[in-house]
Amino acid sequence: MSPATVPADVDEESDQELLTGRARHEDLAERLLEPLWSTPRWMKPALIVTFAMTLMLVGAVLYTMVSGIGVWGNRIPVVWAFAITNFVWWIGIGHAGTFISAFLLLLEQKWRASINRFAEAMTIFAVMQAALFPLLHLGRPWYFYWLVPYPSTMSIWPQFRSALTWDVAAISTYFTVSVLFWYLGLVPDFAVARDRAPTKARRLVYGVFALGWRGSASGWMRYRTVYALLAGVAAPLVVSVHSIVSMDFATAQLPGWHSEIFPPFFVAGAILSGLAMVFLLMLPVRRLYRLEEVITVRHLDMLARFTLVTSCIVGYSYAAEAYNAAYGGDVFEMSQIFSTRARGPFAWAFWGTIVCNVLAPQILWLRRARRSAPFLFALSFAVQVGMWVERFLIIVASQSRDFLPSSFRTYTPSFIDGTILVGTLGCFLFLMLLFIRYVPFIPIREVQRLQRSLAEERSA
Amino acid sequence: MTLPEARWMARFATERDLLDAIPIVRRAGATDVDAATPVESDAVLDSLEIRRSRIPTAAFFAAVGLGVGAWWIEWWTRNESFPSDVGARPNVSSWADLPIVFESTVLGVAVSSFVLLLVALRLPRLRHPWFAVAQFGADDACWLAWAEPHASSSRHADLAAELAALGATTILPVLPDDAEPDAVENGAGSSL
Amino acid sequence: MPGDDGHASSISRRNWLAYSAATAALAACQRAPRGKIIPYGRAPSSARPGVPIEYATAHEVDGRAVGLIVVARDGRPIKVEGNPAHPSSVGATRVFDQTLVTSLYDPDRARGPTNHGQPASWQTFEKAFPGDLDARGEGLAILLPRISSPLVSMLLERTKQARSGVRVYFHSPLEPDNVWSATKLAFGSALDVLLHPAKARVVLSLGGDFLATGAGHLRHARAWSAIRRERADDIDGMPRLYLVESQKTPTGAAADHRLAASRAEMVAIARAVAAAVMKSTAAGERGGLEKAIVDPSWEGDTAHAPFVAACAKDLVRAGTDALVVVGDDAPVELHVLAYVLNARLGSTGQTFIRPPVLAPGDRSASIEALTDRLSSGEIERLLVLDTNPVYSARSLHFERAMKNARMSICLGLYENETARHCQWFLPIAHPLESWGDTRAHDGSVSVIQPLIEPLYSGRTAAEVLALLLTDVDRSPLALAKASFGERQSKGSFDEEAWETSLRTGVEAETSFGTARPEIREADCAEFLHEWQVQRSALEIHLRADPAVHDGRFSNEPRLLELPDPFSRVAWIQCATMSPGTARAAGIIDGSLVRLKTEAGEVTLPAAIISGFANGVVSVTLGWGRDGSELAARGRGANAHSLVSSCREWGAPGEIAVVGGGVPLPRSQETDSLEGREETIVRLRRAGTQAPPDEPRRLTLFDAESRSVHAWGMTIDLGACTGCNVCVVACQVENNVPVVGARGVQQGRIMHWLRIDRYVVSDEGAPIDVFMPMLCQHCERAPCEYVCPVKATVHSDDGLNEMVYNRCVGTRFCSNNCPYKVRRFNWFDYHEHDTDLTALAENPEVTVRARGVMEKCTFCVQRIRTAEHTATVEDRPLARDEVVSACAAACPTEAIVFGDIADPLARVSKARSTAGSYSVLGELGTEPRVRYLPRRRNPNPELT
Repeated sequence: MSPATVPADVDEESDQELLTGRARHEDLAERLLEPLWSTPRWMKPALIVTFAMTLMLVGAVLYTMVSGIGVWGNRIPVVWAFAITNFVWWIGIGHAGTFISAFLLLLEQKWRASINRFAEAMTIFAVMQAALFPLLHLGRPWYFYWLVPYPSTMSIWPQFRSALTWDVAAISTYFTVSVLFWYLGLVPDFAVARDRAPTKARRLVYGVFALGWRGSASGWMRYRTVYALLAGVAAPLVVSVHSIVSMDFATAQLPGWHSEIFPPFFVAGAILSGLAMVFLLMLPVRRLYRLEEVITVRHLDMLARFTLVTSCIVGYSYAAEAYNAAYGGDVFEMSQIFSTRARGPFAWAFWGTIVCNVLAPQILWLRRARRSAPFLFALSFAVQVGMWVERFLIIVASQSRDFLPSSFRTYTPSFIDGTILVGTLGCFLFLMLLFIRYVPFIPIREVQRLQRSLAEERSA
Repeated sequence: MTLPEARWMARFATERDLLDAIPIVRRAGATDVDAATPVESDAVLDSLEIRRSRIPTAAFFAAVGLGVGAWWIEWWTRNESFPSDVGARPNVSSWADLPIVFESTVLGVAVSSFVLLLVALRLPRLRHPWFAVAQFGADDACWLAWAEPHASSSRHADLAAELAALGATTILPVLPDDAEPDAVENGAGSSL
Repeated sequence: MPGDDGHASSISRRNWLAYSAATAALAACQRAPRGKIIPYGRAPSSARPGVPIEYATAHEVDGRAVGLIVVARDGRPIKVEGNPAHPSSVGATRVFDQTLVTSLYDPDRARGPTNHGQPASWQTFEKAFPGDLDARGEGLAILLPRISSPLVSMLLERTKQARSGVRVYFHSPLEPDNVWSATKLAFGSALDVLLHPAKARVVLSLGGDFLATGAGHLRHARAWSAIRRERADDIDGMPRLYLVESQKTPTGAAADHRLAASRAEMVAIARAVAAAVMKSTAAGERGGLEKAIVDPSWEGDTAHAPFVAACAKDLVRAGTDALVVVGDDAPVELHVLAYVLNARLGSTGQTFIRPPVLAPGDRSASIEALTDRLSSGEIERLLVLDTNPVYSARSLHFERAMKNARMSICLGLYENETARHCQWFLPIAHPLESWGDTRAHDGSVSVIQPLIEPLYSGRTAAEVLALLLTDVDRSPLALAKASFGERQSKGSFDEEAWETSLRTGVEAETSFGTARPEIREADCAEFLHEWQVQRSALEIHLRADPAVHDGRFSNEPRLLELPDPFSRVAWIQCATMSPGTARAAGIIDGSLVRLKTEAGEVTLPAAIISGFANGVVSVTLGWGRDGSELAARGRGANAHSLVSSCREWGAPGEIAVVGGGVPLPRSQETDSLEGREETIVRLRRAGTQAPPDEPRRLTLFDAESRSVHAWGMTIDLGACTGCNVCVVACQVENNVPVVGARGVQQGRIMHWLRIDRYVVSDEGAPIDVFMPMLCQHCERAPCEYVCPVKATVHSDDGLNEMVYNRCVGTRFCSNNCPYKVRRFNWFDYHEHDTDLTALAENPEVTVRARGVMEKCTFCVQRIRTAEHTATVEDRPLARDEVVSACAAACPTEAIVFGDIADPLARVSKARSTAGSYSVLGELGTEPRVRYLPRRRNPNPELT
């Protein structure tokens, strides 16, 4: 949507811009519930396609389970490759949701209201995809529970110095908290859906999910307390989870992995890719459901600014990594960064990463760019690809050329590797579509609150 | 003559009307005064004088418990239950314990507070007397709920008139639909 | 081996019924062989279940035996070691000795006699043979490999006496025929050269690969490395090796000065050196010999002038301590020239000895003669004993000649190419199933004793020969004893001596006397004078494959998967050449090329490695098999078709690209050190100060030792010849699976111990360094603290242990291992194991499941066994009692294993020598494996 459509009576750059046109006056509850009662034409084919991709994923996973990890391209020394790349990438995508809803809630950013539910759902589904990989990439996945200290008569326990055990804790916590936070936010809206459901069946279903919420004052009071509490603990998770994921690499001594800058670097990268994914999903939905008045250019602008900031942090991290290698002068680190990545077999990935994640987002300094939906969509796509390649670079390049030249080896993925990556994308989109179809994906009550506070501001 | 306790709900178009009504109802000696609003409103909470929730305090202890528990498991498994030489690293390596301790603590807060919320609100439940009230939740109107212990019909009529004057569009009785008493549910003195 | 043209998989498909039946038989009875076989070393003990017993025996290849000690458990052989008492073994083995145990249980082995392809029995064969053979045995020809067995020669003698018409022929590829011709010319009779490299101070080798191939190379390698190690600090005392070669050989890699030269160039260089030597030795008088050699037209390429001058000077200075060695494949003239030179220098490093094989260099007994006779129809019956002429005498089209025989019989381990063209096929007894005897390279006799009853009714060649005789007891044991009796000077059979010889594995005073016969200078001069050197644009050289030799071992997956020492290619036969040669012909690494000579042509992928002589392409023999050996079948091409005679080691030819690049399955992708020499490979010149060891790093906490023993290893880069035997020994000992060509290409090779090869530059001279790399058992093992399930932990005596059944396969340990020695079971590599093949596996070692990590354990099973024995015998562990499989097999003692807590243990002494260092030591992992620098002793005048 182009800046031209912003109503003239709105003075720009102010929060008033967050709700435009009719969205300022009409009964938003009715309007925002509409998607629940009707199925748009494009929904069915979209569901079929994404479901097929999901089945593809299931097939590939079963095949891997039956035959062994050997059906992947993994090899000595590149023993992690695609699976872990996808894992880090998906987890990263999963960060924007919590970031937007929790962080911005604490920072009392009004503009968060219309988009946070969407972002949270994205988080949950992304983490679901991510969680698949650490399990699947095990040589013997059926023993994954050995990473958990379950009561064992042999009294053999996990080895808690390993970053992988930290991962288990981090991912499971992050997923649980995200789900609780998301669901808690949904309860009042489920209640609205229940109260206004056209049929008894729907009334019943939404009733079940609404848990019997009725908006009593005492309920609201506790609700708000707990919601703030969850936001308070979810916010540090945004930082901790990807920091811990980064420690899978930082605690190893591989040149290109063993680097203190990794935790903040990974978090920044995660939020960058997360924001990109928000754009990629939100912009089409916004257009398809004609939500330009609820998700306004102001929202896009704010998100774009965050994208710009994170991309700058990421850029700084790249620079710092190279600088430290050069300054430290360690022969292995140097050859990893400058021979293998900058000039060697992975140069395409190295420079591609820089272009997609650092240079391209700089265009967002332009206000027009920040407010142009098509541009943001294209940019987000580039960033998304860039972030995946960056993870691939970090993981595969470092592994394929480490200390002894005798064990240097080039890596080529297998067909199954690709199938699984595409499959998770399909599964992710499938879940998103179901969410859009059956769940109020714009927080009704919060937007109403926003509507009211904006009205008060205006009257004041 | 006295009647058994009666529960009533009044519907108000706007929150402002509701706020005006609350003191009146209270002055009339009604108990269990509560309100239902589409979106949360500080003003309503203030005028109902609902006390701060104690859930955070409880969640805090749950979190500390889980965190300490996690740390203890890590320490015990490594030092007491099955010590072994891993890369010549010392058995006491608390820095390596921190990530898991932190995550467990966070998990403690989240799960405990959510559970406590459900407990405090007696949720989940499918049915509630209010749902039986006509028009309840049909639109974004506000509702005021109260109980009149041993009130006489005449006094109720007066109150009703007063509320109507303040903009209460309808005033309906709340019929108990199940044995479960709802009294503790209400604001004053009942919050966990 | 998923994804591969899998050996195992094809086994499992192929008539599994047959050998599952055989296996049932095995399971049913302990197949203790008939006749009393005598354990090595100790008194005969009744085999207790689970207690391994060692037997001495020998393995004959190309008529020269290497003494072995085979470990049997519950009546089945599971491991092969070298016999320290045997002159050709001195405790070491060759790669194909190690795989004897696996070939024993090879499911492709022939199951029984066949007649015209139909299953038959030995009884029916005995009816048919000798059958109506007339008394004189007219028209019967026997074809044997070059064999040194006194038993066989005895039987042949008697046969000749009984049936004078019987004709005997010998054929095996890769015969040192040029040596025999040269010695005949120079000394009057065909002789073998016996080297004493340790005696020499300056050695010039003209393509002589005496450290890795040829008679007695194990012994030479041992002596050579010992003397070099001993005199590491003495620039004059340490033997210096000048070497000129066209291909790359381990000996070439070990040389102090190496020239890559085509055969023609090599001749020129040799003459130039000879001329220079002659000049300075025989100043003044110029006899015929000098004239023959010191001929201006023979002056070598000026580019090599400094090498020639320095080398000649050095040789002369060394005098009697000088030695000139020539490769078996060199032309006769070069051999003669070498003898002349050695004679002139009075070299003591070379003596001559009667060849142990029968009829050396006797043309009338050659396969060519046989072919002619067959074609002319003089021969009605042909008996081929354990040789494969149809494959290896390709150019003679032996199969056609055979058709003329009324009856053709083939005795072999597999139904090979020759078997296919014979009416009768008979299974031969595997070396580990046979009674017999054989001779070492110096003539000493060893008795071959069986460790197991023949699995498939196999019989030895001697047994079949005995069919021609009426007056002998044909049981294999009786035959062996008869031959032994013959050797015994005293008339009566000495049971005690017999048992002693079985026990020690070699019979005393049976070696031939060595001599230094007078050289016939006149003849040599005359001969050398007519010397015409044929130059050709492209020389195609044939040589034995370092793994599968001449093809008889090419059904061994473990040998097929052995990376070539230089090209690092496994599973594939390559045409190897230098970058220069490749560029000239527009060839890139892996592109398909056609080699063409007058005799024939082969099409192979090209492997390019530096250090080859330009204008030379090298092809190894032993590929392109077409028998019933499933693992070998269809791999590569039969290079024998490139030469017109079995005695030729190459031919001029041309090369052309016919196809695009096939990615070669390499175990190593680069041989450059990327500027990391200091921390990975160190060189040390004789007489120079050894580089200081890296300082011990400060640490936050100290790893205290908690045990009386601390197992460690020292690897001497100066001694390793890259012969790969340690790799195979490790595989056999530890049940390490093979992964197939595709697996190797994908970097999934499972070798616990691999040999890295680097090319480092020493003041511009490219030096090949072989670096055995295995788990370094770091004291601060980086693999351990990243494992989330405690699947790899440290033992009290310092082993980095792998707990297979706890491993979930996160592979984090492999990431964090700087040496990348951990191996992962990407698939279930044992799913195709059958009960039969499983018999070869070491019961002491777990067979790893799919999805778990594995790696070198320092042969923990050997350590624990030794400790248990010591405990049972109530004694402390003896010094150097525990020897890892790799260390035991190593010919040069480059690998030394032991208890570093004991300052007097060999390993401790080795690691305390100057210059010992730990690879990537700066990482602070504190490896338990230390390396000794690569020793060099270049001539100061040349640097």
